[in-house]
Amino acid sequence: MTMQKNLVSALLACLSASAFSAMPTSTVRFDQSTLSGLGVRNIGSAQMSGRVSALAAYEEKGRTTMYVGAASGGVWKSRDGGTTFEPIFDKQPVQSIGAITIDPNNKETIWVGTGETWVRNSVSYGDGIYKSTDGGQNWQNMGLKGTERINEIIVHPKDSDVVYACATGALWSDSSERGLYRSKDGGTNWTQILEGQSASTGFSGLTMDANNPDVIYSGLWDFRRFGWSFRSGGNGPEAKSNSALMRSTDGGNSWNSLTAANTPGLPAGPWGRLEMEVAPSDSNIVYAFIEGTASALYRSSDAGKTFEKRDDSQMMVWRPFYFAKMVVDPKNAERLFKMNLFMVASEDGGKSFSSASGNCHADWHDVWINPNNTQHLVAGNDGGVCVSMDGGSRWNMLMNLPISQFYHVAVDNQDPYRVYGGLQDNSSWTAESSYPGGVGNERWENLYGGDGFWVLPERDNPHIVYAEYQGGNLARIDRRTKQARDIQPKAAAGDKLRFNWNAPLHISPNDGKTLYIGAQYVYRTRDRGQSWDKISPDLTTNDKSKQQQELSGGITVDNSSAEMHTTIFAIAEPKGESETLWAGTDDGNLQITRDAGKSWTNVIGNIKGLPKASWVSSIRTSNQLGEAYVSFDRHALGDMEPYAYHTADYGKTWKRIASSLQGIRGHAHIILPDPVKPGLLYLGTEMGLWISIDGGARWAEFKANEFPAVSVRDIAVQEREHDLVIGTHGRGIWIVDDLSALRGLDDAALTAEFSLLPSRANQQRISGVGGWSNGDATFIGESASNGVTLSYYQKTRHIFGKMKIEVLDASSAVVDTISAGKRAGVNRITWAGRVKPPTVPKAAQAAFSGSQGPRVLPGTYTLRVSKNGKIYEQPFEIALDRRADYTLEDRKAQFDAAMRVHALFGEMSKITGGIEQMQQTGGMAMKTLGADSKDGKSLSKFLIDAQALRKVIVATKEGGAITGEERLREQTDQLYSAIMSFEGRPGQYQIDRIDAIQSELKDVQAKFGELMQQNGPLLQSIRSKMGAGGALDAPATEAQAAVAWTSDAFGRPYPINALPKEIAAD
Amino acid sequence: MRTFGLTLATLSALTLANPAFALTADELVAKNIEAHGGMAALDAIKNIKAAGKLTFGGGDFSLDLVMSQVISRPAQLRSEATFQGMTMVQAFDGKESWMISPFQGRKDPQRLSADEAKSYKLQADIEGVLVNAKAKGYTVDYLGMEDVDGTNAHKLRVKLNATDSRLVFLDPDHFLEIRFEDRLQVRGSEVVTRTDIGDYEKVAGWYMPFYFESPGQKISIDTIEANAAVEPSQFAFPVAAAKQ
Repeated sequence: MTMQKNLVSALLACLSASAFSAMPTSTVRFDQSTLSGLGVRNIGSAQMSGRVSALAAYEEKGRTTMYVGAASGGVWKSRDGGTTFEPIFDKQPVQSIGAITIDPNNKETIWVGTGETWVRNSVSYGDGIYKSTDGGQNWQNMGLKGTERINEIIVHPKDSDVVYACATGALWSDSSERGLYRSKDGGTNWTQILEGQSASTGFSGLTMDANNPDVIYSGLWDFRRFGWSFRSGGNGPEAKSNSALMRSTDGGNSWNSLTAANTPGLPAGPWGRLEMEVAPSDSNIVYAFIEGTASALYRSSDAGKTFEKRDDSQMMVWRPFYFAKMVVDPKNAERLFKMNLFMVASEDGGKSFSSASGNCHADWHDVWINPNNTQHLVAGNDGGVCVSMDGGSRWNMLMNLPISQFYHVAVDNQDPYRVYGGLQDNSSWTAESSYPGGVGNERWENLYGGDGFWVLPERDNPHIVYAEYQGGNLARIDRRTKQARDIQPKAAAGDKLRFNWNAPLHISPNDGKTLYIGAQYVYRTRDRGQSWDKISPDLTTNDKSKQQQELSGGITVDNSSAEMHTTIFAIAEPKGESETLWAGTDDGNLQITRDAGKSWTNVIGNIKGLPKASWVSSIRTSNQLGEAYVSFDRHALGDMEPYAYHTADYGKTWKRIASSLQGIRGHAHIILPDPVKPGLLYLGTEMGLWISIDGGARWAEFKANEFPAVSVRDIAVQEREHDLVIGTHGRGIWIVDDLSALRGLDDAALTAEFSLLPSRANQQRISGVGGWSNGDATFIGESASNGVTLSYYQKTRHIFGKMKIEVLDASSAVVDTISAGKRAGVNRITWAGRVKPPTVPKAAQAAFSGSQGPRVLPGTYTLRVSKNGKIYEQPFEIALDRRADYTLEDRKAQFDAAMRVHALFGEMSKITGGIEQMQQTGGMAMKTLGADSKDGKSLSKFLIDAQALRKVIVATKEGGAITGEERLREQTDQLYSAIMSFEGRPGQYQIDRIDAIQSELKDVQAKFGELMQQNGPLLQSIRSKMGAGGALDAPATEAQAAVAWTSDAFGRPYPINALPKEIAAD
Repeated sequence: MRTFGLTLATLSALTLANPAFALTADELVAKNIEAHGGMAALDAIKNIKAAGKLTFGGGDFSLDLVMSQVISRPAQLRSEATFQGMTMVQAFDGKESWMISPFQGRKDPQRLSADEAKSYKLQADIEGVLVNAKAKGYTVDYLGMEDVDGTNAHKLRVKLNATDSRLVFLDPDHFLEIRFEDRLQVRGSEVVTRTDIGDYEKVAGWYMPFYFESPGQKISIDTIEANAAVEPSQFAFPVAAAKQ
């Protein structure tokens, strides 16, 4: 029956996909390579990190290497005990991790089972088992692709080719692709050596006797999740369950079921989730957690022949589907840890437990005990990774894993704009989208509590924010005082409101004070929650069979609102139509009102080919009247196909615009039309982000900067900045700065060998001060570039010959040249936007401010690209920072002042360069003339006098960074720094200082001129004796000076020993 | 009990779908050498002198240094980068590396550790790691195709020793290197450096890259001269200068 249902479902998907495939498509290449050069930056955060489902580690030579498996954020490796992490699984097509195992025979071989098995309502899925033989650098999928979830992998302790994989399997549907698998050839082939008694029975636990690898225990788990309920075991505490505890003594060839009937001490069934562990240090001691009508820990002291009931306290038995893992101390069989809301520890073989969680985040899932120091623990929970050095009393929460699981994301209109979002078990947060020094963890501000979902700022008053926790618990938060007023609408007498776990909030685009929330009804407030209007009837199917929240859980009732069903899930009011409102439900209704809620029409029946009861995951409208984009999610029915539809007539007719046949993977969470360019669409699925430039005819996966195949739950466009803000469930928030280039992509651009693409006006953003040196163990999100960003497209990668990129000013003069991006597809290049730096005199150490030219004046510039004999040009704009409190005239005054100092550096270089050149050639002359000759003595005095003048200009003492020596050059560098620090009008005292330095420099110039004049006859005499090439002339121009003092840098040494000591010493 | 594995049909389907997998590491190395210009051309090159620009920066900050580099067989290197008249020198004499970093007021040369010398040794190999890899004690494995910024490139792993490796990505059409990714152990920690490569031009019959880009750093070469006059002493640790 179940098989039939799956077939029907698959057939429906194929049929609708076939209908879809009849859409006309272009032959122009548009794929992930087209878009990967758009770039994307991750702003985290690691402040709240995210759920960690599995861990593995080892210590060698005092260094701890860790592998961290995120619930939906890939695998991360630390080689330094957790100080830093590197994502090592980002190139793989899934990011949900269920198990990580290091081969005990070869620590470079790592196994990863994909698909988390802590099967909460928001859990993701995987695509099999992976192997790396080089410590995680490279991976190969080794099969079991249909298992969806793998809970445990064990490698035989003496034979790396023998591997066991415990596949929990599908959560939302029946499946035969689950069970216990064994490979005897390192993963090339797998044999299912144990399977459940029903298609909903997978595996929840696996343990091997480390001293006798033929002895294996495994737990079968009968379970199923629906959108409206969950069962662990049967459909109630007493219902039949196929969960079972199995034992093999021949390496898995044959199995015995351990039951109350044949194993004294075990409880009677039915059972739910099982977990068991053989103590590594004592084969006789076996611990088994058994979920049943009286869930408890059981212990065997005779290798599984008999068991004895041990602890059954709250932290042992609570929520077994989410907390089952046990870990036994590798050295002490009496010491074990059990994961739960808090991790608890026992040192008496499970008779008693106490908290070992300290003040770390709740909801623990795994722990590693260092066998070399069993007080050293590394644990994963819903808040990330924690490390304890005292056996679990105190924990260091690692702040460097940006695996945060956002459900939704929103933006405001501040500058820089802020992002807002709510996370799984990690509250609701806001941070700047960009910040000087980076968007560090400290920039994130906690707004509320619980699990966070929608977080919406009031448009014109961003200190007012609406946030919620699970089940529609809505609050209005004043960020100035942190006051959080509960404004959740309440039920009328005799009624009960059904708010989804992730209840929809929506602010009207037409009136920023109008807020909607959905239960089974739509509620509207126009006074910030002081009062609510119920503006709809029950918009759901009101199917009572799907309103079983209070009974959900199976053997262990688990009523958390996670299974609240027949609810409204999406609400959208179109721009320009305040009377129109869309509402979509989790049970398959799509409703629209055109009269502000007086009447509603269910248009779901107009969507041909969409299977019934499809969950409306998002509704987004465009600037076009009557237009809407809707995504549907059927994964809770076991159908991972992406569904997205478009209407242009208020829902009368629909067209499917997304399908797996187009290469899209994962069920659809969000479809968003670009607010500027018609046909440009963004689609977030469980497996990543896809972009279409032609209304859904073609989709390209977005893989910029190796953007992982992470669940994209929500997307927003910041319309002023034209930024795409991506809310991921597993890797935090990412931003694509400036969508202009993407909007410029069309078939004409894509067909050309090379096309210049548009960009927004580049602001000269104020370079503020921010950030701090907080060590390496913290995450810092990337800020937007302060440079000038320009874009182009090239059909293929540039391999041969130079590709020249120049920037021209309004007079067509070349201001600068830029290195060209080589990649195929869109390229983004950044220009510092500065004039060339000044020519700074050589001295004892660098003048760092003088390394930069001032930023160019705002205006129109031209990008010119020379490639393969062709020239491409396009103008672009540079503007002042819109936040600047100075005018363009002020900016010009600053530029002029900076350029005066720039010129002073040049003048200094001319003089000192001349002196240095004379020192160089003077040494050679000295050799010819002889130091004791008349001319030699005169020359020596001349050079000493010249060097004295040089010392007025530049510092010459060596010996380290801090010599305290200040000369004109160093003073000029300080002045230059001061003027460059502010791009408004400089202070008069700064202008006066330019005059002062200029005056002092003129004195030196005059003295140098006098010196040259006084020594004219001498120099003329030497010149005639030395012949051509031996002249002791000072360079006439700055360019010549530059050549003179840089030429020695190429390995042409001074004849330094021939110079007088006073000169040679410098 | 059911068995799952790669069948012949699956394998042939994979092979048909992606003919690149039919190639071996040796074949790819041979194609790479041929693409550069052939072994005869390479063997004839005894040294190269390059000159160009080294740029550090990002955003609205950019620092340009005039740079030059000499590489000479068997494995000697001297790189110089000049800023405000001060010249930083990095060198490898075939056994050890040293540097002069004058920007903060010291011009005396410093010897670098054996770990720090690893990257210089790699740069000093005029042939590159793929050529004569076995003779150099390296092993080369082909790891299939992988996306490199929109190009589905051949991925080769060159194991330099037990702990160090270089990934080499070859363009699928021209078989020239477009990216390196080095993983070198330095003081017990792995240091990862990714370098993108491009702007190939023929020098003395051998295609050489004129552009290198790593995070925060770009090198743009203007000229490369092959078989120039090279002073051998420039690679050695400057003992006399150190005393001064």
